[in-house]
Amino acid sequence: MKGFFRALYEVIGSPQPSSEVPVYREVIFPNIGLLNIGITLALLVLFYLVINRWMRVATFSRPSHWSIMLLVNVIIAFIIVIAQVKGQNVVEHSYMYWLALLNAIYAALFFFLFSLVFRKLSVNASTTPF
Amino acid sequence: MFGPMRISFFVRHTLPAAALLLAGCYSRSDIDAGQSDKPSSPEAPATQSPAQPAPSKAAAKPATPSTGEARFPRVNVFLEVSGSMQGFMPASGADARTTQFQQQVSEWLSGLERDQRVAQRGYFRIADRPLTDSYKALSETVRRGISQPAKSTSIPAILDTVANRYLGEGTVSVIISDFIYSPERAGDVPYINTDIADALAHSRQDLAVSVYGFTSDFKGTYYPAMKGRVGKVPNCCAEPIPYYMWVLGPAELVGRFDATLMKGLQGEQAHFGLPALEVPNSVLSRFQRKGSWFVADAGKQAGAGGHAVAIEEASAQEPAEFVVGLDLAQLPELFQAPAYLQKNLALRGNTTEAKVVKVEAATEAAKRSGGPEAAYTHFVTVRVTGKPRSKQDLTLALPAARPTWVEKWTTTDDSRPGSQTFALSRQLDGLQKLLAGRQAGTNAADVLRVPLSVQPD
Repeated sequence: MKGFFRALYEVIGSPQPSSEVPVYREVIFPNIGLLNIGITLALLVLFYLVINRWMRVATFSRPSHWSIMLLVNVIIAFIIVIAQVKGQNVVEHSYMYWLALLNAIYAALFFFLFSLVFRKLSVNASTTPF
Repeated sequence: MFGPMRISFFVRHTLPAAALLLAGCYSRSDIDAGQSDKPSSPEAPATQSPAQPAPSKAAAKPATPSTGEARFPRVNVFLEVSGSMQGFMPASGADARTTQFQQQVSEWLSGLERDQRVAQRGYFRIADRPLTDSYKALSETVRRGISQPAKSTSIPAILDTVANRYLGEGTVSVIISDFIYSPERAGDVPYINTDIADALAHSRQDLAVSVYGFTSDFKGTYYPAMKGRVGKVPNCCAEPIPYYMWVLGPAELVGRFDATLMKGLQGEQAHFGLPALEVPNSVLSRFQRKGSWFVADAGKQAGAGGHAVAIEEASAQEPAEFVVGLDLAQLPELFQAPAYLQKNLALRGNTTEAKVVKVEAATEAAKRSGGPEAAYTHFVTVRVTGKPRSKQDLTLALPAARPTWVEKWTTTDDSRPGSQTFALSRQLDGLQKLLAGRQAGTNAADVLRVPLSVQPD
């Protein structure tokens, strides 16, 4: 699993500064990866199942509403990277923000991909985003 | 809105799934627990974690207590009081001028007498056999001079007696003498090393000997070892004359004695038979680093040290440099001098691309930094000028070479007294041969060794 997240996050190069490489590989990559997927799934459950199946809220199923959820997911994904990196006391480096940006992009990607599955479970939003 | 069935679906499926995902994440408490669970390997005695340096340091060296709590069950002091020593301890006249010998030895004796770490002390004058004395009488002898010089005793005889009768369990013996040894026949000079080795041959197996050399004014009659041309040199001497303190005992105790009670002496020193020590050490991942590398075995703690260095990039133009922290507080003072270490610390291994470039003592700033480097007394900078192709094991070692002062202090003819001792190097050869042979299994050829490795990232 560590290897998977390492491959996922090292597409933008090895972590910087290089003195902190082991901490990124051992702790931060798995943490932000798991949190990212978990939060994405949670938001999808909220949107497709809670709001648009069990509660049958009729006014929150449009693609624009879906985009709001996606945006929330992206922002959370960015913030958790900053929080995780600072929480591990690694030496400051601009790499942190690049990693946060990459995680935000992954968050959007995961959100979109999992939507294709989750929309089938929904009643009101089964055709969102398309 | 919520039907009972729907709530139960949510509770039964969605919440556990989310909980599972979140539980997979690491937290700081996991990391700390994981670190303390990990058994500390003998090769990595000091993997320091910055968050808790004190407990891990204590765990790193349980076998050898830190110098502050060192205990010596018994210390014996032997002072040679033959005629040849009279010049070091002249009866002080009205001018009250003393020799360095008198000052240094009485200061050292007083320090020993006062030291809380020594449980029992024995003081002896060496006549034809060791005579029990008291601290008061012995220090009086040093200050006021030898009242009744004893007949000269040969060095091997003294060593034999001390090594076989005064080196019980937990005992350190210190011999203070000029160590001028003249064999009965001039033709036996080449066998001085054998005589010394023979004298100590039946002593305890873990014997170690530390030799401390000093020079002092000398006011009296000098008895050269080579009696061929001159029997004795009266009204000696213009030049300072050497005298020695030999510390004999079990290797572990002698090592501790060197690091505590023989500290801060203004002389030369040489050590024989001390076992290779495992000193607390670690590659410091953040301290004075250059280039791109990381500590491969640092684990989950940011800024933690280790012993494997993964090099990302290195070339002759842009080398990678990493710093190894060493805690040498338990070594004799000679091995703590940065100049000596710089000259003698060597990196052994199958690569020519890694070299020791600098050895420094810890600065005040480093000691107070609060980082992992605060636990170390010395910093060794290693430069790597090429990325290794595979994992290379290296050993940072301090070879137990005989120090260069020994040759300078040795003479083959002491009929003109000077600051040299007759056949000193032969005496020490004897020690070296005997004690290096005994400890062959435990790598006595090194004073300390630190296992390291470099690898590609």
